[in-house]
Amino acid sequence: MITEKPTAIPQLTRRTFIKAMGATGVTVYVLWSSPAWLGPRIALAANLSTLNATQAKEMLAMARQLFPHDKLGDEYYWVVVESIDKEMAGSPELTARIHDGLAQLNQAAGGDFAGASANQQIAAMKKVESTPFFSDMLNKTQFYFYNNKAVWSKFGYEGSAWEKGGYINRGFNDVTWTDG
Amino acid sequence: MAAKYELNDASVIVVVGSGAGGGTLSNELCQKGHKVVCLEAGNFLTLDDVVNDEFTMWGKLTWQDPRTGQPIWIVKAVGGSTMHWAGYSIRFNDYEFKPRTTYGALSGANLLDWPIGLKDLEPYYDKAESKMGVTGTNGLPRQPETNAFKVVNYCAKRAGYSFEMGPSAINSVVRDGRPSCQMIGFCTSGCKIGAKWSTMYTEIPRAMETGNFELRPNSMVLQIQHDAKGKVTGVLYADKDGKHQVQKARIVCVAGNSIESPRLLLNSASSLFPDGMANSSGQVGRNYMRHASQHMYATFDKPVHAHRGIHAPGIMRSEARFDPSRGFAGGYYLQIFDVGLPFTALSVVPGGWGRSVSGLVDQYDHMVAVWTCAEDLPQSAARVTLDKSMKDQYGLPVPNIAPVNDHPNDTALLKHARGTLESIFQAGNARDVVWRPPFPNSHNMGTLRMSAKPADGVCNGWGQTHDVKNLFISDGSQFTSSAACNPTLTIVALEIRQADYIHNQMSTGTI
Repeated sequence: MITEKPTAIPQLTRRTFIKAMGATGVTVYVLWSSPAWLGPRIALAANLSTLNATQAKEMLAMARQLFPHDKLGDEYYWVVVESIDKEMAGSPELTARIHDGLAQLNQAAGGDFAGASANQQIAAMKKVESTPFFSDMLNKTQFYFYNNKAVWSKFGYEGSAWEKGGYINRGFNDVTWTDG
Repeated sequence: MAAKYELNDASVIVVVGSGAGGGTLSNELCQKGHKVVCLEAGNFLTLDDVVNDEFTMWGKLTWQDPRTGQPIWIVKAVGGSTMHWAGYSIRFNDYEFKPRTTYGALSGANLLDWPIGLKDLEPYYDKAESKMGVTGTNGLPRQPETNAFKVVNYCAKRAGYSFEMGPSAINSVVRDGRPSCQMIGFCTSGCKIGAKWSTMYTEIPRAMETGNFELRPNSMVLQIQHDAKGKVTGVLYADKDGKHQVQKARIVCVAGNSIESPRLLLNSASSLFPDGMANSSGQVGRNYMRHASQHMYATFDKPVHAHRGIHAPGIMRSEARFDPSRGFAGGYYLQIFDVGLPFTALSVVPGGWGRSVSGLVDQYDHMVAVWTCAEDLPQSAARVTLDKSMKDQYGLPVPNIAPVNDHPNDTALLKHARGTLESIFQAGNARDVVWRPPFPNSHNMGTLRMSAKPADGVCNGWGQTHDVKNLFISDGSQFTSSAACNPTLTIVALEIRQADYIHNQMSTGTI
């Protein structure tokens, strides 16, 4: 199904990403450069206001299973965690719902959702699929993940075009395999 | 130069809304020398406010006041839905003005023939196409073929079908003081350069140039007022500061889209009009129609880059015909319609998650999307009412749009369209072919329909309400049936025609 193999060189991706993330880039850099994800708990806690490091890890794993793109690193899913955390900070109801939902998700996965296998994670998510927590996570992940400009180019989407004169001279009709 | 009218100037015509209907009507009346005050609920944006970002523009354009019932989508801004529309400009077929006669009595459908026919509207379609610069009319060239078009037409030809570029109200040449299309690829988020026709930068400034026009943005009309004889005398509205004002009027024309227009009439109930204004038929708010529709996505081994260029490059007409041998009445257009990644992800997702969804998004640049735009049948239960359990920021009951299932005719038609598209995409060796439910409806029609007899509808063949002679319906609410084509061109044609009628009626002193 996936037509383009990941080609990004880590250093290059990281630089682009830090630029896109602005002020929060340093934290993300620490997180992402850690191979095991588990390392930077301090960085995590420092950057989040409603989720502890374990909850953040669970949310990240869930976001990845909602819209799994093997070619994309965790840093793109981390944007989702950070954005939802920010929303939670302004809504005690949402915070309670997410905290409870994550606990439920852990339970459904036998105690450790983040540490479970992909298949176990999916099975656990199916168990809570009808909860408001799950629809919140689905809708918010969908929005924060795909509306992040940093992921667009990974899917071949080029974003704002008017300042470049549109595509009239930049490939609006460059498909040739339909000729003849 | 913009005019400035007094609130107690009872000689003005008040137009509620500035979209395809209200914007066009305002300009046409001003050109004939009439004084017009246009009250628009939304902001007056400029092209500087338009950015190439789908969610940002969704936030700037969308009508976000509370509503209940089924989700629909309309614009709250000067220009109305012409800021958002994709530009397809197709005329009704003759039989589509006579659905009751043509289709017969279909169970569960509240079918009625229009009081007018294609012959009545043809001269006005000519004027509308000329005004809007519709490609393929008036000697205007079609747009050059885009990637999405080339791929879809490649598939279609292998299956024995054919698509055409346009017809579209997007400049294919420099025209009307506006540039030609630069294939920017954000048509439905507002055209940054104004190549796509929108009343915001065509009809509205033209009306202002006459010196007869006053536009009051951020002005929400709350109630239409009348005298003891039931003649309309003006409107109550909340101005930009939220202050209530009454603008007197000789005539009031309602063009707030098919949700807000009936809502305004219902909210204007009085002792003389206990069920809402102009509602002696009981038809106000009924027969709400969208189009029967669905999205179909196909992915290919080779790249497509469908986001480069016009969102809506071209259509297939051959199934837009009356042919009951297919198992349903009415017809459908297949319309290429590709949007950016954020909205595509939103559309392929609904309710879904996991690899079935992400696997499609992974193929975004190898994908085309085709939308089915099909005739929707009027159903009595498909209806806009007031939801008195909830009030908006003006203290008025919000509209409720009853959730209505597709009529069995719609279901059969959509299935046929999927079959047609599947055969097209299979012929082109597509990799994955999936269909999805549509976005919330932005083609909203009916709810204040035209009828020959006052008992069957709200307004006559000119959009003039049967009950109140100086009250007009001036948007897609007038539609007696939806036809299969996109509504904007027909709304514009109806409003050019309505302006002629109002002018004549005023000249003879009838109104």
